[in-house]
Amino acid sequence: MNKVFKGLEDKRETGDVWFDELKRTRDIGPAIVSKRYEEFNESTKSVHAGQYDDPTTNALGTPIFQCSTFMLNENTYQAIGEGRGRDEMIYTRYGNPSQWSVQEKLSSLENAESSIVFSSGMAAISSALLAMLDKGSHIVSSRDIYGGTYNFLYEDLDRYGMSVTFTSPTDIAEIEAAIQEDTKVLYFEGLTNPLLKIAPLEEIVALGKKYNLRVIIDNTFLTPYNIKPLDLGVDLVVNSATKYLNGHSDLVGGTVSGSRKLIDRIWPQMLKNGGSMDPHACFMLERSLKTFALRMRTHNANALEFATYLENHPKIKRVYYPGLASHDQHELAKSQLKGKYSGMISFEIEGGDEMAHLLLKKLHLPKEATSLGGVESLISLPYNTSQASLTKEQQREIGINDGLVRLSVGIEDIEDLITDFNQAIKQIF
Amino acid sequence: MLNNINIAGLSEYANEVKENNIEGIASYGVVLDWVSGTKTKVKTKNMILGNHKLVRDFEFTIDEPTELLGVNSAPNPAEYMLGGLAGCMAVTFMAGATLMNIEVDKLQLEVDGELDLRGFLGVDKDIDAGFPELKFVFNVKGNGTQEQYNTLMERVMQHSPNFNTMKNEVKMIGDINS
Repeated sequence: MNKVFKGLEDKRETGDVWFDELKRTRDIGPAIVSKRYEEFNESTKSVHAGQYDDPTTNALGTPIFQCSTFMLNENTYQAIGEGRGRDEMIYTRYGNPSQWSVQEKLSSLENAESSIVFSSGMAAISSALLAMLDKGSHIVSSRDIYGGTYNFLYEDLDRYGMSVTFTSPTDIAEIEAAIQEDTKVLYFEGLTNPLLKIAPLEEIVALGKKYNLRVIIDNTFLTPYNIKPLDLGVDLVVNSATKYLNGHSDLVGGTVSGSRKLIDRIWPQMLKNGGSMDPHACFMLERSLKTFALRMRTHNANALEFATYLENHPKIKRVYYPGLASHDQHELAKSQLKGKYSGMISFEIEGGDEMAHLLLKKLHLPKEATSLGGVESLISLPYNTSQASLTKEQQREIGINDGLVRLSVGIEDIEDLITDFNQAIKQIF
Repeated sequence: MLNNINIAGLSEYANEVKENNIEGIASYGVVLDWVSGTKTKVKTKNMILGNHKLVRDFEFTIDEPTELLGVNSAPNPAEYMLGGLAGCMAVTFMAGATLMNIEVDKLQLEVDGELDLRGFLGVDKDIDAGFPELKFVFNVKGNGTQEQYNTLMERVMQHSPNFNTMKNEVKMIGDINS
């Protein structure tokens, strides 16, 4: 598989060879059989890309390669010797056909050369950041990021001799002003939690180019169905696969996608940190991804309709949803997201947190739970979940007002969700 | 990996540079601050490799022996220069050995030279201030043959950047701000 010394064996012995003659070039993947379905649309890619049909039994669908290790042979020994172990089956933390299969599907959906799946979103994020940052590096990010990522940046980076500045995720002048001599990475979320602010990706990528930086985007709230950050020049895209990618609230996972060059640098970091995805989880994720586009279409459509319903409800003070004209960045949403505004809504209810809690108790369909992106609607209050580490005043500073509710709109029938909200609001007011 | 050198990665990089020459352009720099007497501190500037910044957060101290008016707290400039030469030749040697399928158990380089400080002091205007010659010796233990090592040393002299910087006439462009 793309060997370094193919045809150079004799010259290698005599020394009549130098680096310019080496044969190995970077390829996409790794994959047993690369089937990207590049010319097809999202649902077709979701169903078919990456699937490995077993040639021995003709079984349809990727088998679960539930093994920790693989029998070694001359090829694997040679690969280990040459440092191209990522392309061979050696040990499941290094690579496994179940991982490769789902990684190929993800690469197809992200328009990436290569992807790695991890045992959690935070394993993906921490490995990607540690692989990209040098000793002494500085990173520009935003306070409007997932709490786990914030904690990693705020609490752990200085242990590695690195530092971070938190800025607005939307104010490009503020982001530029935060760039220092040692800044190496700009890290933002495509759509922020919980106020659904949109990171202006084209402008952030332009800043990256201007200052020779890498841009990493956490696209969990949007997914590659709604936007493909790599197409806009982002270097790496990370996702919590726990959310929309898996979509059934029954798996924890993470993904990183990008060029083979950069993903090959994250791979050894993953080997050191651990955090590889188990083959059974790979099977579940790949199986779930077959309905990814189908689910996302419904999430998006339901959320737009539900946001409109909420905005017209007299007991709802404010709705945050990029698809509404009232959203601060609606124009950017239209141009960047092209009508695909995600399944996430936040809103403020009359009567503050007390009424918000009552609302959650009276609802029958949405489950009162953290996380998002499941087929079932999930509802929670940011103040005592995702943003619980902030004081009330700090919460207000970033716009988390009294009575703010975060709703991950599921794929239930929208009229049922509206009926359920109507009965719940009627009971509490 | 043979000699812990990722030859597959080197192959990928060489082919990338063939396709996209800019990826082979590496800019380096250092900033030196005088501390006191003969003592100075050097910080490495960030590199740009291709189009991307690499953060180089390293520093080292330079001094002179007490006999040469320093306080002998660190290697002197000549020693750093010889160390930089040896380090560069060692990297080139090890990558080349891996290319030639030689497993190296031990590599030690010695670099020696003699300055005539009459050049620095200006005592004799006919004497150049620099090293007139540098001698280097590779002490190698591994499974290569003498013939292979000879070839390898020729390759090092051909491809080591620092070796060639010292061997060649380098255009020195100076300026002063005050």
